[in-house]
Amino acid sequence: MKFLQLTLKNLQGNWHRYIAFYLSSLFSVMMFYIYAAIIYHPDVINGQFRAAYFVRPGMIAAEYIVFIFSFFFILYSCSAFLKTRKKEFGLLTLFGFTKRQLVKMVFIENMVISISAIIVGILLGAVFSKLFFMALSNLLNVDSPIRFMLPLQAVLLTFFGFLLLFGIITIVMAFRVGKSEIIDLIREARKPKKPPVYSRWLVALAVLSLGTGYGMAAILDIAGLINGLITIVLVTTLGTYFFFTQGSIAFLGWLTKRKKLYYRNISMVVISQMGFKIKDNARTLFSVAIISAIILTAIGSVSLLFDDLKAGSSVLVPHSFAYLDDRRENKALVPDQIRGVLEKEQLSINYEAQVEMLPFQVNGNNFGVLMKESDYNHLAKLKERTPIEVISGQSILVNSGRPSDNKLEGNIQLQIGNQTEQLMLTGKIEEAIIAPFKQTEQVLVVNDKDYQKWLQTIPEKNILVYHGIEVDDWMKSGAAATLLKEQVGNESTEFFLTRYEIAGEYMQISALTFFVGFLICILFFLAAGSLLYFRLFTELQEDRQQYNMLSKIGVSAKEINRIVRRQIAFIFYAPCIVGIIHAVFAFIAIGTVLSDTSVWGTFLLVIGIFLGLQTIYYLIAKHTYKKVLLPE
Amino acid sequence: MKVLEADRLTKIYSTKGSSLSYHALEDFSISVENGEFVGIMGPSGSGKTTLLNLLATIDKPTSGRVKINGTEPYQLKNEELALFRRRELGFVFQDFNLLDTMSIKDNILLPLVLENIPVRELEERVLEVAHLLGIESILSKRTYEVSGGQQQRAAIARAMIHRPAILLADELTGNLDSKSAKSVMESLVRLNVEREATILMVTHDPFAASFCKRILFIKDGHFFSEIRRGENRQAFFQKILDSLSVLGGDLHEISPTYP
Repeated sequence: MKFLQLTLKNLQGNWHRYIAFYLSSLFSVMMFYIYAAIIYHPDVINGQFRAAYFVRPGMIAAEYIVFIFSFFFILYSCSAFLKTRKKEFGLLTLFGFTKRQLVKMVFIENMVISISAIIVGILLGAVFSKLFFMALSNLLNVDSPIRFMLPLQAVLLTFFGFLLLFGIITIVMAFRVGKSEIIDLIREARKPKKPPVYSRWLVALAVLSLGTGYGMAAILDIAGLINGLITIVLVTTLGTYFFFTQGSIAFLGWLTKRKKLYYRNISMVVISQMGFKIKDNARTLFSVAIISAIILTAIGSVSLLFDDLKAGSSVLVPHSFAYLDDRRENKALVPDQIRGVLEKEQLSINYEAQVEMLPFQVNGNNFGVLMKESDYNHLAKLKERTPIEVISGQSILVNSGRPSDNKLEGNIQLQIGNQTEQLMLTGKIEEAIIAPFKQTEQVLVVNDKDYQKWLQTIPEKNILVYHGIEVDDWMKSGAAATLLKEQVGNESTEFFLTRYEIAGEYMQISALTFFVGFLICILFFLAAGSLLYFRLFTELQEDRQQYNMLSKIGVSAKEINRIVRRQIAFIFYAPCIVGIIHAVFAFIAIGTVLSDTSVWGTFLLVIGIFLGLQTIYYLIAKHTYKKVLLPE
Repeated sequence: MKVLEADRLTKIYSTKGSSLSYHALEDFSISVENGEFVGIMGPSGSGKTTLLNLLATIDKPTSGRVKINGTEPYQLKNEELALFRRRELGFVFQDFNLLDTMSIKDNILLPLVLENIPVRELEERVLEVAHLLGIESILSKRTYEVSGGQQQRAAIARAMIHRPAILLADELTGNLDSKSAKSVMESLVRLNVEREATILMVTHDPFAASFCKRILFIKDGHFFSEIRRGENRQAFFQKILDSLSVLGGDLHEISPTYP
């Protein structure tokens, strides 16, 4: 049997041992590929999906983090996996394997696992991106679904990126295996644990890095943030790493010295074991904290973007369906017709509003319309805006949301019918109150009495009537909008507008981005959870021994339960809380960039959901762990 | 005053749904007076460890009664039983069972810390017991930094610090070399004499057993014989070896560490 065959046979025979390591590698590759597939999707690059195009730099930053995360995730899985096999290596050495051969064996094994993980990971990633795009297209009811692509660049980047990553890890591992002595290998399992130690310098470095990262995020202005983004991410990541590997141990060391607190009931057991747990789990906790921060920031930003756009379109086009009746003979459309279509499409109407308006001219040109104060306030009330008051002879301009060359200021001379009137412009409202038809680009709100007076002077056929219909879920009104457009003819924007045709596509893309971000965050969340879960169970055997001993000397089941609960809670919540703090500063920075949007409502919601999910994970882990550890 | 009274203890191990059963212990009675130092000896599989587990309230007897310091532990609920174990019993195990996440001092303190004793009293008690066992110098060390004998003495300190009614020891010299074994046994004797600690010890080792004042022999789950020590430990050691050969001559099972 040749050496290679031996190695492969070994792989085959020990398949159950490799599976955890293989799956974690596979998972990382898959995640990386799905991100890359979005980044290099041609429709994203050429800006066809505008929102995705804008979010792309963020995704690239996330891709870096996925890569760094994968490195630690795989390094961890790999070393955990090799640890369980130290005895095997010891035996092989004892039977005459040279170190060279041992290193060679580890190298071949790792490369076989890595390359198959990369290939299968990319394939699975491709399948999932296909499913993912299909589900999205279906969900959004889009006419042209996002094309399924296998962007070559994404495949190559994933393949060579991970080849490099696995190569480095394999070299690190082979080096570690090659360095150990037979006796160490054989006795590995029985080695006593060294107490956790920390370096003051590294603790200081952790504090300094976190301080710098947080400070920059909190203080810098937009330009500074854009330039400093990478620095902030790197410095915070570094700080988090040393926070968990050094800072937490320093903190527990300090707790040990607080005698009143330390020598109190189970605290002593909890705190002293925690030191060891943190030391063993520092990298896991670090990864989970970073992942949590990414999840929170990503979800927070995309939902913010989404909300922002949604609110924006509602301002831009105040009603889902708007119809302007200009009293022409052959009406292409009547409100009844709209209602019919809405009913057919199962869209429920939230409210309907109808106002009449008088057209006016400035310098002989059609310029806009006059609306009476009570009508404006009626519409404003429906949209939950503040009512206004207009004194006779004055008026307030309401923007239609479309940029206009015609600027009105101060005293205006305007022609209503055949008469010329004077109006004093006293204010401006930026949020449109009716849909932006060409004839209604400028809306002047005037006092009711003035309006009644001018109404008399205008022939009835010149009066414009505006119908606005607001449905409950306008995002689903795409089909109805298309159908109605067909009925009135596509050139009908002068008297029929829908919010969907103006903002819908934009909204879809941002919804798409939201879902892309959301699903990837779910993947991340699962990865973070399984890291902790995985970790918890690798130590089960050791823990069981300790709890057995504690139980023998009279620690009650209740107290052991409390110890277990605190330890698991710590493992699950500590990184989660650090992640939340990171995200808080990320949100301060986002608040700086989107200066006119309030970010905290969205953020609190996201944190709430995240903590809820984490709690579910914690409860499951605690339940399973206790069931295995303390069978009653 | 009787500290421990066990009456006709029987333990039968059986598998569910099978008629196979194994009588590990049958009608075994023992009583221990305050300040006694009792050894239990017997060949492998004789039921020594079963007996100790029953007395330690870690296992429940199939029939029979146990009374420790006036309490019948098997009448207690699980939670109360744990508290009872913690307050009235002290344990020493063959493999020390110290927590390697804590210093020697913290290990010794554990039973008191669980009872929320004030910090100052903790410090006094730990120094007192460490002095008695001669381990003051290693208090701040970690478990793997000290020798087996020292670890075992730390374990004894942990078992004694809360002044239990009785100290139960299971093969406590089993993992030690002869020199360490001797110093550990001498510590135990000192506890017995100076503190009037009541000690019950299960052992294989005639040398360790020769430090006891009284030895019960057990064979196949039954009481076999009992011997008492006179003035001379050397003579007692010889007497133990004689009794063991009567017991069944499985001397090869016994690894005597000669004095």
